[in-house]
Amino acid sequence: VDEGYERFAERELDALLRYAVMLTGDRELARDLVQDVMIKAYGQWRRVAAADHPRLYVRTMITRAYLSWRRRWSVRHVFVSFDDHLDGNPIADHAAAIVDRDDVWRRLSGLPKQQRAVLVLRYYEHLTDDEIAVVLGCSAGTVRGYASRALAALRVEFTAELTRPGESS
Amino acid sequence: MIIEDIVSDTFVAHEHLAPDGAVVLDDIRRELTTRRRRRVSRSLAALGASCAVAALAVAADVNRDVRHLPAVAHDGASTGGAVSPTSPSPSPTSSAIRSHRGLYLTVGPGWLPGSRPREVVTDRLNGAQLRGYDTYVNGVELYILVGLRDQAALSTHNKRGEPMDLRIGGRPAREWSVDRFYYLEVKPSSARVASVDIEVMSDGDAGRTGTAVGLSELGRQVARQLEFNRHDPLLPGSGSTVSPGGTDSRSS
Repeated sequence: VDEGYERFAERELDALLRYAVMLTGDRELARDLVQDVMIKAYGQWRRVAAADHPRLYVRTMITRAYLSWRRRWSVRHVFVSFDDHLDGNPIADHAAAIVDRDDVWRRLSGLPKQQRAVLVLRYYEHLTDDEIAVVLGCSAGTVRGYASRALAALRVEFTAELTRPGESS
Repeated sequence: MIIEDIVSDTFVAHEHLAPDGAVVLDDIRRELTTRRRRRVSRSLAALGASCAVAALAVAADVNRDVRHLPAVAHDGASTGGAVSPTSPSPSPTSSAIRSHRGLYLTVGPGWLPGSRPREVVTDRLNGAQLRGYDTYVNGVELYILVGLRDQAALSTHNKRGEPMDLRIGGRPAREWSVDRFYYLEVKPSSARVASVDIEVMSDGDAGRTGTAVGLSELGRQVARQLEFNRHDPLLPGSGSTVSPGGTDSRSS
């Protein structure tokens, strides 16, 4: 195996796997996703190595593979649409009452993939909207749209949790 | 705490779910090796099929000839007439192949491009011999397969484009080239065909890369310096660094 590829993999693989876990929410899916992409990257290694930031290049490959990765994904996940909730009144941010991260983690898995990818890139990788737009191959406006819908959906969930009879404090 | 902070904290709190990078890297290495060997197996299967067809053709010829000869017992003794049929003496090289079937390879590259070519596979199937090498030329990974098989004529078809006839070391040869693939056949003797098969492995930008490293020139040079009287042990799945022909391999 190419030495440059080996060095890259040894240096970056852990971070790429963490990123993939954030995207997929699942250890095994993350492993499969990164493995698929790294093998593909090996076949294109000259191009990857020539990029200004090979890690960003591979991260983009992972993101796009995740977004187009329908078959295996759909076997293990059922998406829940939050769109119906978005027509209601603006809801105040009551999330402070809910800090159970596992619960948030579970709710993130219900977001559409594009929305989750935007949240991961924005709040885990700390990219700007313009940078996220490059990764996703869309406009910054679209990125903001995905982000606001994702956050609104999560807020709706939190609010529903808080206002459920007998559960609110 | 606002929702954005919760989301950010949630991601960080679940980093521990990530698989171990070292384990995944091992899996990746294994998969890359498997894919390479799978490709060699396909090449061997193709060679085996060619040999099988050639063997059938030879058998048909022999049967046709035998019908014109006096009857011969299975032990080789003549059962009638004074004339004892004599089969043509095999060449020393083909004799060596038969007596060491599965144990030795007689063909090998006298030269390979790149500074440290690595032999990644050797194999034989139905008399066909195959040796596969990994090497790097100008930063591009090449996979070179050198083969030898019993076949009377050069192939006429190959999926790698249109054939071009040429001579390699005064011997008739034919080559095909398309994108990142190159394939050449040359006839070292009347009954055998040697092949040099090169594929660009490390870059998907096929055409540009294949042209950039000059596959045709490399392939012809490998073919010019093929050796046919080697006596190398067959090492299935070998992966040692080699200096073809016992000499230092030269950088292109």
